Amino acid sequence: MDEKLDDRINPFMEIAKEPIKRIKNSYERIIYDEYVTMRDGVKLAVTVSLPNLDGKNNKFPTFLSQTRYWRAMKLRLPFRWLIDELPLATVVNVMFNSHGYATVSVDVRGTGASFGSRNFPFTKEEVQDGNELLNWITAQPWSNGMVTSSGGSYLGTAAEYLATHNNPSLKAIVLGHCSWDAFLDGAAPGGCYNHTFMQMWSLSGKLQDQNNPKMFKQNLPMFWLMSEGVKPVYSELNPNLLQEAIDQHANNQYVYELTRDLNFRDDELPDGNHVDYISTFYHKKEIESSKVPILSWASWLDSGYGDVVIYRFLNLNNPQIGIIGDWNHGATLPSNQFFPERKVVNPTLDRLLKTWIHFFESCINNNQSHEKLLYYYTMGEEKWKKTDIWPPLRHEYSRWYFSSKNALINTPPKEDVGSDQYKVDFFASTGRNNRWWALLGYQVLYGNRAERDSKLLTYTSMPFKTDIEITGNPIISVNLSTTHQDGVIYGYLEDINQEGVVTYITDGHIRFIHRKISDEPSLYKALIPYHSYKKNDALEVIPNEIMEIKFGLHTTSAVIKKGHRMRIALAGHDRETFKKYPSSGKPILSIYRNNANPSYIDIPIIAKKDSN
Amino acid sequence: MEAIFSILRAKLKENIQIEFDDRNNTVYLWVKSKQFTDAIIATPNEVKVMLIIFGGLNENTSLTIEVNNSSKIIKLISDNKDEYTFLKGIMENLWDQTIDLLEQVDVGNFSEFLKIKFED
Repeated sequence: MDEKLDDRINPFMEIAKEPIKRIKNSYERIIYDEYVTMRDGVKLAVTVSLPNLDGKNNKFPTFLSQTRYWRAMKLRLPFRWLIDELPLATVVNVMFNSHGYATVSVDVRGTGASFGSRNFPFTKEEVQDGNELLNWITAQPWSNGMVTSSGGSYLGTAAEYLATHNNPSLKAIVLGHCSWDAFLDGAAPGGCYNHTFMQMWSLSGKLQDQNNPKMFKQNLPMFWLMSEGVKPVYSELNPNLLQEAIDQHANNQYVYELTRDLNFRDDELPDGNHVDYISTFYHKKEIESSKVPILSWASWLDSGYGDVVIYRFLNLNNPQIGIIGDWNHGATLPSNQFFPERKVVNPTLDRLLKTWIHFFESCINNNQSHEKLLYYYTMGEEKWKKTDIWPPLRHEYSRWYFSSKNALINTPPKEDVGSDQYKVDFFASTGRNNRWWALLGYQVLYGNRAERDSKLLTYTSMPFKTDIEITGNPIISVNLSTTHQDGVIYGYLEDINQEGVVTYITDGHIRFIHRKISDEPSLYKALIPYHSYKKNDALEVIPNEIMEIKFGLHTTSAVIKKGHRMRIALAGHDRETFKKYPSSGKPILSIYRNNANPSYIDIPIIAKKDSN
Repeated sequence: MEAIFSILRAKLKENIQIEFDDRNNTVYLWVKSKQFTDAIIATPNEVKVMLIIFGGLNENTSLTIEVNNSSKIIKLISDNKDEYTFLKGIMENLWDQTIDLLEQVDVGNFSEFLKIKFED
């Protein structure tokens, strides 16, 4: 089976096709909080939720989640008088408990109600805590010795790190919307500092570590309405435990302060490490040696996390299922740009959770297949597909050249001269509902980009005569010069319908100094030109000298319909998201499009079955 | 979530009894929930925050809040008739208003949420 195109394919139905056995008294639970002491004396706050089987001495597999966003919340009045946890936590815990799982939620060191401090996410100490927690769980009287872990974003990365310990108790992990390469997925995509995300994520982390729920008011209003802070671990002997823990967080350091001058992948962090150390790709060998089955899921439209699912698929030999859909960060909102009016996300939370439990059950019972399988959703066509190879069968590249009169054509330029000038508009922006703001909980909604494109340099094709499926990484190759010694080229791939509505498909960008295609073996397999982003590979930008720049856009799967046109829009800045390069001046870019210096985009298409 | 909101609405009405003493400008809140076993049912400030967020109480309203942890009864005493009348209006609809707000936010309607005048 290499590929199947089938209306009935839906990963959430296929993985969770059989009903799962529920236990009796499924809504009766035992919930308690306690501190677990780590090897260096640091106490971690833990909330345990167990199925209540009327005192019978049962043993359960455990679902572990480690978070830096509060393991549980102290509810505001009047909710605290009625319920133990937020409704969302209730849904998750009841779902797992009612299917016979214990759940354990942990505040990682330096956060929530836990003690200790941290100078970076996923420090060696924090990662090592994961192993101790696995051992602590399996030593509990209610544990059957088997642990699973899952989570979205930070929690997903924490789950992936659990696999680095080769701890036999870990049976499966589900990794949702989480990082693989901290430099490119988060801190500096394309070598450009992800300024807004890094600043806001740091600020919200700092507020949470000081037990201030303020940050939820803007981003997660439901949480703010219902919660006044982290849930303490109550102790009659010492009622000030929470404050003592929070006082220790005052020593925390935050990524924005540490990385705001980050330029290169190998820039040293204060602890002597570099960003790669906190990237899970760096720990590939350990993850593989664990042989832990992985279900990895994300969206084409959430930061670079759609690419991450592909990277895991291409690079890890663990048994693996990948799922890439069309929702926001965490699948709470729909984000398919072809259908901006959609209000309800598919799958539902209930269906998602059932899928994860099915996956865990199959791993615990050794029924999980050892093959790799990838499900992906093609936007515009509105179909799930599955494949065991990537790129999928019949994948090929179709080259489209930038041409005169802002045309995009599929024949190379014949002219000896030809270029377009673009004065970088530093007010150009994708707004606050783009793939990077998605990481902060914002909806992904690029809208009709016709107005935004008026600030950019665009190249547009003639209407297509048939539907074209684009699946994979588009790759832009431009010959350009600039009037300044630094700069960035952003490329947006778009669909234009017969009414002129411009719909975002995907994008990518690169800072000029990182343009060298490295001769070294790449850090991991990726299907785009390999830029190392290392100091030694940085190339000088000489004003008005032509540079050849090749870079990949984020992977996608979308159909441009018959009668629609394809557009590539170029920019020099994305104001509300990335740091400005150069920091001052008004650069003019020249994009060359002649036979000596052509510029083009390679579009990954899936050839029709009956085509030659 | 809809089902949970519906359960919460019923639980609030069933477990938190509200009574009015018009003569003494006082509202009584009686926390009857058996599930809630904490020794301290609330601080006066937490009660005030609840009234500001879910009832629209003005932060500067003078209101005496007395919490009796053993009887689980909270007394809200207004200084004068006008303020009592306003408070009574809040309390008569407080639980419906609370859940209505959650429901609105859950479906992305923030018009009432944005009117909340409270900062942590």
